[in-house]
Amino acid sequence: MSKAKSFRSRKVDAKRPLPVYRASEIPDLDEGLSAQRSVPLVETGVEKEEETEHHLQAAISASQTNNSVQPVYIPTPDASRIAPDYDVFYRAQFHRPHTYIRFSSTVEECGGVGYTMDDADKRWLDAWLASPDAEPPAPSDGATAVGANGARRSISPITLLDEDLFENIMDAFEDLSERQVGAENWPYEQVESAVKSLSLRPASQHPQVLAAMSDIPHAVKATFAHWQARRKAQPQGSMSIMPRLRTEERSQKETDPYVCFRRRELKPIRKTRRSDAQSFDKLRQLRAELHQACHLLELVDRREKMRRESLVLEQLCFDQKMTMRDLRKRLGYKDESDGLYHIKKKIKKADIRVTPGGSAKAHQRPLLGLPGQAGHGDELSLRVSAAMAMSSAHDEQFAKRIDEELQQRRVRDIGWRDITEDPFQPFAMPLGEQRFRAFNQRASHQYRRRVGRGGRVFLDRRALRQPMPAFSAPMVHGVHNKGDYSTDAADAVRRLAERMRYDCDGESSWPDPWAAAKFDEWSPGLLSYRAGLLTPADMQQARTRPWLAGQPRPPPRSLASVQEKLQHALTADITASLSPSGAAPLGAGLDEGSAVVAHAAPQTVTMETSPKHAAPTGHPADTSPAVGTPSKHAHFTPGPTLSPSPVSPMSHSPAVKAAPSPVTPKPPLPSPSAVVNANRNMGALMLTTGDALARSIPSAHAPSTPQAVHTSNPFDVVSSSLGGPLGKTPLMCNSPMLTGTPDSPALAAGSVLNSAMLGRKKRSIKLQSVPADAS
Amino acid sequence: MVVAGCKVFVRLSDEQKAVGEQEDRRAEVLSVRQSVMQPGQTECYVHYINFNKRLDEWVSADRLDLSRRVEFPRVRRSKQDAAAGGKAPTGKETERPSRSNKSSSRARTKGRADDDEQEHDARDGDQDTPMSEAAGGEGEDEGASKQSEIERLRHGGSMSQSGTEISRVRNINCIRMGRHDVDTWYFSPYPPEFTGLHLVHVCEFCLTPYGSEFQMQRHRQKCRLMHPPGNEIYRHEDLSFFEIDGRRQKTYCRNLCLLSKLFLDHKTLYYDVDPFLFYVMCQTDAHGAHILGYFSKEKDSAENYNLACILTLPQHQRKGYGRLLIAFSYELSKVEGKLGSPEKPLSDLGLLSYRAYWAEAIVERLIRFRGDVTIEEIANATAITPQDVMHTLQSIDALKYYKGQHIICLSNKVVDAYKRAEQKKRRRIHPELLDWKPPIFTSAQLRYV
Repeated sequence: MSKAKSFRSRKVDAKRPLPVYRASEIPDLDEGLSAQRSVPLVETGVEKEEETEHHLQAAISASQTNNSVQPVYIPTPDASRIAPDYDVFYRAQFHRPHTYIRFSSTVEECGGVGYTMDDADKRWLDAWLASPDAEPPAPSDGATAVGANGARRSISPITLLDEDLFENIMDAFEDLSERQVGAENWPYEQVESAVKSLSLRPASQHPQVLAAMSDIPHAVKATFAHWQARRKAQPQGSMSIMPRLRTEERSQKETDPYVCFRRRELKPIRKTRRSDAQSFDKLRQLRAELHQACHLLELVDRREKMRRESLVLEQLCFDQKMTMRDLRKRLGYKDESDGLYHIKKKIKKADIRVTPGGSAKAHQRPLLGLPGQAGHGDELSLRVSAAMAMSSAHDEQFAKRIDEELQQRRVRDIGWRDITEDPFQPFAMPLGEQRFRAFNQRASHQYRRRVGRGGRVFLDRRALRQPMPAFSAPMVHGVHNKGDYSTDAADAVRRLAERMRYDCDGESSWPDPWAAAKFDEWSPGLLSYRAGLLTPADMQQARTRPWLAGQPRPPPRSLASVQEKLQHALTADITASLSPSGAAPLGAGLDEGSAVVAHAAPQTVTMETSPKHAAPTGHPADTSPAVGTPSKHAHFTPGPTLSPSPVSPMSHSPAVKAAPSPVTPKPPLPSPSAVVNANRNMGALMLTTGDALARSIPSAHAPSTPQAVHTSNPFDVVSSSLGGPLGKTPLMCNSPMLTGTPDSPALAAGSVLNSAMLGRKKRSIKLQSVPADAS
Repeated sequence: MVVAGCKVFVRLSDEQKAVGEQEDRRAEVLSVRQSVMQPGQTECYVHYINFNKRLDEWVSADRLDLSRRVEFPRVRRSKQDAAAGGKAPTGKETERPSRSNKSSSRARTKGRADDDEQEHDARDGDQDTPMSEAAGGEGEDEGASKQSEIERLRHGGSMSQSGTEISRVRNINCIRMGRHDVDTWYFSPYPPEFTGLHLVHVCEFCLTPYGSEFQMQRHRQKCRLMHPPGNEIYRHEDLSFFEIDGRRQKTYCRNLCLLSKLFLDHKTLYYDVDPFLFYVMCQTDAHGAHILGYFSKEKDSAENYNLACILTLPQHQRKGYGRLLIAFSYELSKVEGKLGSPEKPLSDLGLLSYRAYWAEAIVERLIRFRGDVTIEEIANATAITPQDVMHTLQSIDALKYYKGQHIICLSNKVVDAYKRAEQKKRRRIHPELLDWKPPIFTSAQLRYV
C-alpha cells in the first residue's frame, strides 16, 4: 500500500463470481498487481494484544511461507505425564450399547452421597474406630433400641460405622445446616430430632441414617461431634466442609474472581420489525375471526326469526285445517280421516324401483297437470298438482339438463344404433356404498373397511338380500298368480319372512314392513328434533343424493350447499324449510288454501336412502345397472296384500314388466346412517295414537285411492308431503302406472313407504299402513 | 526489591534452553511469594511479554536478571492519559458501535491493564501476596468498564471476556484427570480451597474436582457415570459426540466450564451455563467414554455464532481432534441450515485450528472446481460465513488480481498441502452418522439466556 500508485483497497463482493485457477495455469499472474489490488484484510478475531504474540506470529508466518511438512506448534505447558494407578480408580466395566446412548440423569443422581470424606475424616474415623468409644453401648441400651425399632426397620441392623455410613451421616448434617442456618451450633439432641423429622438430601440414604441413629447412637453422636469440630474449623462464611463453588456474591465486591456462574437476569425482549409484523398479523386475524363469528350470529338470528314465522304459519295452518274439518262435517263430506294426522301411504315398491333409466321417459311427460289423472280428479289431486307446481321450476331445470345431456348423447351417437332400453345414464351409487365388497360372488354379506375417529378401523358388514331359493318360486307364484294373500304358500312365505327377519343382521335394522307407523308431528320429540341444528350425521346423510353424470359432486360443506342439494333431492320439492325462500311456497300454499302445501314446508318428505339390493330373484332389474344406483330414493315395498298381477307390472320399464314380482317385502338395506336416523325417528312415529291407527284402517279399504297422486320426476323419487296434521288426505306420490288401478283396495291397503323425511333436518321416516287384512 | 508490576528480564531455565530458546525474555512480575519448595527463597510469578499467558510461571528470584533494565511500576496516571494510551477497540466493539461509551472505556482499561500503569500497593514483595490482589488491584475507575462488561455478558450470551476479568495468576498448577497429569494454563475459579494444592484430581467422567487422592478414591467408588450425561448424537468407531443441555446438566456443565477455563484464557464464567448447549467429544473404551474435547454453543445466538468455546483437552492435543470439533460444529450448522462462525475473540491456538479447517474445507470445494464461483456459494456449501471465507482466502493467499478482476488462485503450496492432508489417514466427521435435530427452546426456556 505504500506505493504511490496503489489503489484504494476495496472489498470483494461476496456475490460476485470469481474465476478459480491454479497457480500453474496462469503463469503470467502479476503478483505486484495483486498486491496493489489487495483487498482489506479481514480481522483474525484474535485479541489485538495477543495477535502480536511471538509464537502465534511464528506459526502464522510458518504456515504462510515455508513448505515444510513439519507444522509449527505453539508451545504449551506439559500434558504428557501419565498418572499412576489408573485402574485403581477406574474400572473397565463399560459396555457400550449398540444404539446411541440416551441419558438424562444428572451428575448428582449418578454420584451417590453428596458428601465425600476427605483425609481428615478418614484419620478421625480410623482413630475413632480404634478407640474404646467405638464399642457398642451397654446391652440394656441396645435392647431398648432394637425393641423400639425392630418393627419398622427394613435394613439389617447396623453395628459398625463404616465409611459409607459416615458419609451418609455427614451428608445429613451438611444438608441440615444448609437448610437451617446455625445448625452446627445446636446440641446433638436437637440435630437428631431435626434429622428425623426432615427428609434430607439423599432420599435413598436417609433411612440408613435414621437406622444408624437408633442402632449405633454413640457413633452418630461421635460423628456429630467431629462434624461440629470441622465446621468450626472452617473459615468464616464457609457453608460446607466440601469445597463449594462460589456462585453468589457475598460481598459487594464484584471483582472476586472466584465467584462464577451467577444467575442471569431477565433478558429484555427485543422489539423487532418482524415481531411487530407478527403481532399485527395476529390482530388482523383475530379481527377477521370476530367478524366471522358476528356474521354467524346474525345468520342464526335470521334463521330463528324465520323459524318463528314458520311456526306461526303452521299454527295458522292448523287452525285452517280445523276450520276445514268443521266445514266438511257441516257440509256432510264423508271423510275417512279427521285430517289431523298423516296416516297412510300406499305406494308400491315396484313403482318406486323404477330404474332411473325410466326417468328419461318419464320426463317426456308433462310434469304438471297430470292430464291422465285428471279424470280421477278429485280436488286432492289438483291440490297436489298445485303443490307440485311449487317444485316445478326446479324439476324443469333438471329436466332441461337431462334433456340437454340426452341431446348431446344423441349427437355423439350419430352413426350408431341405440339398442338399449333407455340411453340415459343412471345415477352413480353413493360413494360409501361403492366400498362394499363381497368375498365372492355367492357371499351373503358384503364388507367395507372404514377408518373412524382416532384411526380406529371398522369393518362394516351388511347382508345381501338373497332370496331364499326354496321359497322364492311359490312365493312369486302365490302372490303373483293368485294375488291372494291368504294362500298357504303366501302365508308360509310371510311367516318365513317374519322369522328370517330376525335372523339377518341387515333385516333386523330395517323397519318392520308390516308394522303400522303413524306419527304425531307435534310430539315433543319430533319438534325438538326438528328445531335442532343439522348434526354432522345429518350432513353426512345429505351427501347421498342424486346427481347428474358429469356433474361434480362436492361433499356438502356448508349449510347452503346441503340445502341446495337437498332441494335437488326432493321430488315434491317443497323445500321451504331450510331456505329463507321457503316462506314463499309456504305462503303460496296458504293462499291456495292448500293445507298440504303449507304443512309440507316444515317437514318435506323425501324417501329413504338406500341401495337397492332387495330386488327379488329373477327380477331383471337386478341385472340392470340401474338397480344399485338410486341414492336418495324412495323404496316402496309392496305389501303382501298387494294388487293382483295386472296391477303390479305398472312399471313402464319392460324389464320390470317381465318379472313383476315385487311380492316379497324385502326392503332394501338402508345405509347405516339412514338406519340410525330411521330408528331415531321411530320413537316419534310410534307415538301415533291408537285411534289414528284405527281410523287409518278403514281408509285403506275405502276406494279413495285417488288420494294417491302420481307424479314422476327425474329421479323417480316419489316424495310426498305427509300433509299437515289436518291434511286428511295424505299426499301420495306414485308411479304413473299405479294410476291404472287406483281403486284397488289392496293397493290402498298395503303399501310401505320408506321415506326419508326432511324437516329442518333431514330424517328418515317410515310410514306404513296396516295391511288390509289386519283389521 | 522486586514487586508485582516490575518488568525485568528473566534468565532462561534449563528446560527452555533445551527446547532451543536463546534469548532471555522480558517479563512482568505479577506476584511475589515465599517459595514452597525452598523455604527462605522468594518466587515471582512472571508473565513473559509478547508470549501467551499460558507460559506464565513461578520463577525463583535468582533467575531474575536484575543487572539489566528493570522497569518499576509507575504511579497511576490520570484518566485522560490512560485514555490516550488506549488501544484500538477490538473486533467485538466495532461490531457493536451502539455501546460506544462504555465499550471504548472498556477497551481503554484493557489496554491499560496490559501496560504498565497498573495500580498496586507498594508493599514489600517478600511476603505472601494473595493472588487475587495481584489481579483485583484495579482501582475504582474500573467500575464503569466493569459494569459495561457485565452488562455485555448479561444480555449477550458471550462466554468470552476481557483480560481484566481474569485473575492473572494461575491458581491450580496441575490436574490429574484419568490417565493424565496435565499442567494448567490459566486461572479458573475452582473453589479457593483448591488453590495452592500440588495436584487437583478431576474425575474423568463427572469432572468433579477433589483435593486429595483419598477423596478421589472414595468418589470413584460412588460415581456411576461412564460417559457424559447427555444424549449421544454421533458415533463413528470409538468417537462419539454427546449433546448436553446446560440447563439440565448444571453440575456437569459447570464442572466442564471450570475445567476448560484452565485452558482457555478468554472464557468467562461470570454467568451460569443455562443458555448453552455443550457438545462433548469422547473416545470410548472399556472404561467408558473419555472426554477428548468439547465445544459449547448458544441455544439462541443473537449474532449467529455457531460456537462459543472450544477446547481440546491438552492431553489430547495435536492429534487432529480440534479439527474434528470444528468440523462437527459446522455439520450442526449445516443441519440447521445456517452459516456460522465462532464467537470472538479467538485464542492463538483457536485461530490456527480454524484457519486450518477453513482452508481445508474451502480448498476441498475449489480444488476440482473450474469456472466462476462466488464467495457466497462457497459459504453456503461449507456453512462458513462469507467473512471467514474471505479471511481464509487471504490467509492462504489465494485472492489475486488478474486480467482486470479478482480471481481465486490456489497456489502450488496450498494444493500440495491439501494433497498431503488428503493422503493422511485422518479421522473425519461423517454427516450421515449424525443423529441430531436442532433443539427447539421455548421463550420461557430461554428466559435466563
